[in-house]
Amino acid sequence: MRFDFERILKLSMLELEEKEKDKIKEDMEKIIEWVSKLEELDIEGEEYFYLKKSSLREDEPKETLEREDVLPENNFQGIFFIVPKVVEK
Amino acid sequence: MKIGELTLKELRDLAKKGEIKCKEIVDDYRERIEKFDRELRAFITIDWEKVYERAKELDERKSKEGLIFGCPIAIKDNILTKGLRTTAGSKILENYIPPYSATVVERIEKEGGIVLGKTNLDEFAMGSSTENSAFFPTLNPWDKSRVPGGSSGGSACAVASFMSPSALGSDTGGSIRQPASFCGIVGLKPTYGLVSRYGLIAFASSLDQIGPMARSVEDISIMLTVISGYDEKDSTSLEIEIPPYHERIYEKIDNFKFGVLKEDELEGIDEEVYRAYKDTLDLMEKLGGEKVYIELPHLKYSIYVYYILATSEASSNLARYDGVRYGMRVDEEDILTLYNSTRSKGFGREVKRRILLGTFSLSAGYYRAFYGKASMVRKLIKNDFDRAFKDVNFIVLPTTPEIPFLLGEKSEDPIKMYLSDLFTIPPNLAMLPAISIPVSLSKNNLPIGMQIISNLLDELNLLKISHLLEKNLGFLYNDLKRRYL
Repeated sequence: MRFDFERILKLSMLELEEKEKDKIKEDMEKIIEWVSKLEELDIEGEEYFYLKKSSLREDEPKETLEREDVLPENNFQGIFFIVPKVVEK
Repeated sequence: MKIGELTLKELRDLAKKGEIKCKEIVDDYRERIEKFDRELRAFITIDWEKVYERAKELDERKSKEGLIFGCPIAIKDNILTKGLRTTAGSKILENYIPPYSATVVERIEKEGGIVLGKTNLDEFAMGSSTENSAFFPTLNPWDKSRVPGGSSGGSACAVASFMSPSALGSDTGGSIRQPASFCGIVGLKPTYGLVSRYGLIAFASSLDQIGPMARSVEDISIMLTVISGYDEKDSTSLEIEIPPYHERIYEKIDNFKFGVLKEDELEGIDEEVYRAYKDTLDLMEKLGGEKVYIELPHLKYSIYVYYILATSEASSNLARYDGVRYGMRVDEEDILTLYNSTRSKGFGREVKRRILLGTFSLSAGYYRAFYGKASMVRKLIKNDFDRAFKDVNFIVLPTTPEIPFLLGEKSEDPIKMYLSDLFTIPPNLAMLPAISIPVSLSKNNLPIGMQIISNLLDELNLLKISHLLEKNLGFLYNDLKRRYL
């Protein structure tokens, strides 16, 4: 099956070295062709699989992890994660 | 008496009576680990200082309570342990120290268990041989030129080589049962929702389940009692009453019916595995079971459905590794390059392949034909099982189509590797409990496992029949005992 490999890479936020790229692209094409075996099944009118359980709860605060235990030592200041500048002037 | 040989129950009883100190137990296991793990490489991290501190604390207790008091338990390294490095076998989490423990780890500690160490796995549990670990492969204790299976290969190896009496694994498409089979031990994947997944590093959330691995069904049942039960921190956790599995597996079971597939549906499996399968079915009949041929018309699509759904969920779950909040970060000039570089350097090849496949299956233009269709076929597979379990109590299948393969044998061909999960995937898709028990040895002395599947939440009967079979099989660890004890 043909698909836009560069687009999938971009959506996945992944970069590959040239060498790795050919191998992974080839593997993917093979795997996609392999799983396309499902095409032979007629699923007209069938329903999706889903979990019937719902776990909504009252919006009440409960005991949870301490903030200082969870936050990292690096790349963190006050209540902010430090990242490269994301907006231009 | 050799400490390494003792079952959980024996260890616990002696430790409770004070006839062995927890420190002695730890000393004994440490000696074996130092002797054998240099080569087998089942463990990624062991913090002996912590282990001894825990043993000391247990030894000083006045009231020695707990189902696994004094028992060392190895934990697969995708299950969080507070203050103890948890890597998921990935470079991206190489230095990650969790701020909390998984619910299963808390339960093990509450029952007096000792977290022994963290075991090797395929990166993010994606693989069937433990060769995808970012750190090193683990070897099969029966034959060191072969893989221990995966992804819980470190846990399986540790238990089989007497480096731990029991271990936790996780199973998304066979990651407990396949390595259990390859290493000649027992491994159980419980019903989806029976065991809390809070603190399990997510791979494919609609399929992932934590379960126990041990050398006997009795030990599996003790561990299941310890780890199962409702947890409000896992939204898929079931609010049900848990029977005391470990007390009830000895009950008599008769008049049971077990389902098998027609011969032609098992085409292509290894001859020795097929013979072991036939022998197991004969034994089950001899033990009073009635063999029933069943039809699961959509079973053959399971593997395709799985590799679409599991990769889709993985692509979504692994989006969190962006280098910002925790785990590895590759510093860059702008944020998008930071995300890209971190993920590209942090993930290994199989993980990238699966993220890409999942992203493809979920992408505009392909979603209906891939993810959507796979979800519908999953439902059809579930319906097949529901129908079958109206007529039978159990379904018996080989755990794997083959005996343990050689290191490197399948690492360049992902589809060949994926086919190792052919029989273990269907119970995950249908959320059913399934166990692998060792039934025989191949002519070159490698273990062969059989898989028994039961209806939803029927773990008790699944364990009873497994215990009965085990008693009558007399599968012996003599060879391994000679080598590792």
